[in-house]
Formats: sequence, C-alpha cells, structure tokens
Amino acid sequence: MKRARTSSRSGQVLILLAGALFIGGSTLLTGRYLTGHDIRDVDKALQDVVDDPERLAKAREVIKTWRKDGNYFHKRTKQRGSMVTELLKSRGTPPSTIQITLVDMDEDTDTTLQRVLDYRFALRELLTAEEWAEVFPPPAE
Amino acid sequence: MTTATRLTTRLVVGFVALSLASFAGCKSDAPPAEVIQTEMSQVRDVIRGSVENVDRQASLLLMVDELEALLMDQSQDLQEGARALHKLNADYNSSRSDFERVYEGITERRRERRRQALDLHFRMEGLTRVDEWKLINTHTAKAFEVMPRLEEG
Repeated sequence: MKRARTSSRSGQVLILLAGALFIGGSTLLTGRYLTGHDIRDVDKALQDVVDDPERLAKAREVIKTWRKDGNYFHKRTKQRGSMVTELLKSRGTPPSTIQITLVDMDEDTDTTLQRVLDYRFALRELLTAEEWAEVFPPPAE
Repeated sequence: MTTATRLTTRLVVGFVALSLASFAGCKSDAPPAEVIQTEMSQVRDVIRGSVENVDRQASLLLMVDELEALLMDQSQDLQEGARALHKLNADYNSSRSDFERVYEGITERRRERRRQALDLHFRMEGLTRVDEWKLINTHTAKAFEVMPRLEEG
C-alpha cells in the first residue's frame, strides 16, 4: 500500500510537469503566479480593506472578470493539450505538425499574459497605496 | 504491463516534464528539486533493469541526464520568476514594463526548453519499439486529461 501511494504521488507530479511543458501552466497566467495569492483570497482581502463601496464594487468586478478569463483560458489550454496529446500518440507525427498547435498556444498565452497585466493595473488604479499594501503585503525575503 | 514497458513508459512520460511544481498547486510535500531527482533516479533504474541493448541503454540514460538538467533549470527559473513577480506586484509603483520584462524572460526560456524536450521526444521515439510507444502515449494522454484538475488543487 505504501508503495502504491508513493507511486501515485509521483505520477501526479509528472502530470503537473507535463502540463507545464506543453500547456504552459494556467497558474502562470492567473493570479497566483503574478501576485503570490489566490485570486479568491484577493477578493476576500478587498472586502476587508476597501471601505468605499463604489471602489470596492469596481475592484471586485475586476477580480470577477480576471477569474472568469482565467477559467476560460484554462479550458482552452486543456483542449489544446488534448490536441497535442493526440498528435504525440500517433507514431511518426512530424514535429512541424505539433509545432502548429504550439504556436497557437503561444499566441494565446501571450495575449492572456497581457490581459492579466491589464487586470492588475486596473485594480491598482482603484486602490490607494495603503490599501494595496494591505491586500498585497511584500513577500518574505 | 511488463516491467520493461512500465519503466519505458516512465522514461518517456518524464521527457515532457518541465517543472511548475513549485507553484502550480503541487500536492507533494517534497521540494521540486528533490521530486525531479527522485523521478529521474527511478527512470534510470528502470532503464538499467529493462533495456538490455547496451548502446540503446546508454543513449537513453544520456537523454535522462539531459531531461533532468532541463527540469532542474526550469524549476529554478520559475521559482525565481515567481519571487521577482511577487516583489514587483507588492510595489504599488512598479511599471508595466517591469512585469513584461520578467514575463518575457520566463516565456522565452520555457519555450527553448520545450523545444529541447520535443527534440528529446523524437529521439526517444526513434529508440522505442512500436509496442512500447503505444503504452507510452496512452500514459501521456491520461496525464493531460488529469492535469488541469490537479493544477486547480
């Protein structure tokens, strides 16, 4: 039993790693990799920190769109990952055929990275420096 | 599944592994470097125990060395990238171009490593028998199906 659990855990790690190679890792494009915080936790922090109802509503709307966009990106990358898998399953698939799908993925990734920054800076415009420091405390050195 | 095919499967599934494990919701408690070394060590054991042809075994072991180096570099790169981004994000006055510089570096290096990993993939394909290849791809497909759920975890 112990061996089986170990093997399963190792397999899960490899699964994550495989996704990182071909799919790009959706966390790279959503809140956590950029901010160090789960986007849902950011939403909660905003409610604790921002007193102005109007600004809070706008900030939460940014977060809502950010999450929605992240989820949509996740679905697209999953679909493309399946496409790449199918290509790799076929022995003799030319590298150029796989490359076409990877180029599509890369373009989508680049666009999404820019949108993530759009959200970050839209949020920044809605918060004061003091509020920002509370929502996004500096990381421990 | 025979030991040989199981081990070969681990090897070739491993080739695609460029690590986001440090931040991608990985549920393993072990540090990414340790996980990578453990996985690659197991793959080497499999090759030594299952590939009888000396030349083929040596070639595959060299590819595992290359893969391990790619994994370690990528893991380290992503950890450093995450630290840089978190620091920038915490600074209210960081500019957009500051973030873009970090993103571009990470992306460029990841894509270069992906290119190298794909090259390894095709080299391994050339060294693998048809029956082994079928099993390998079945496992890879399962990995892609499960991956998004694990990332969310």
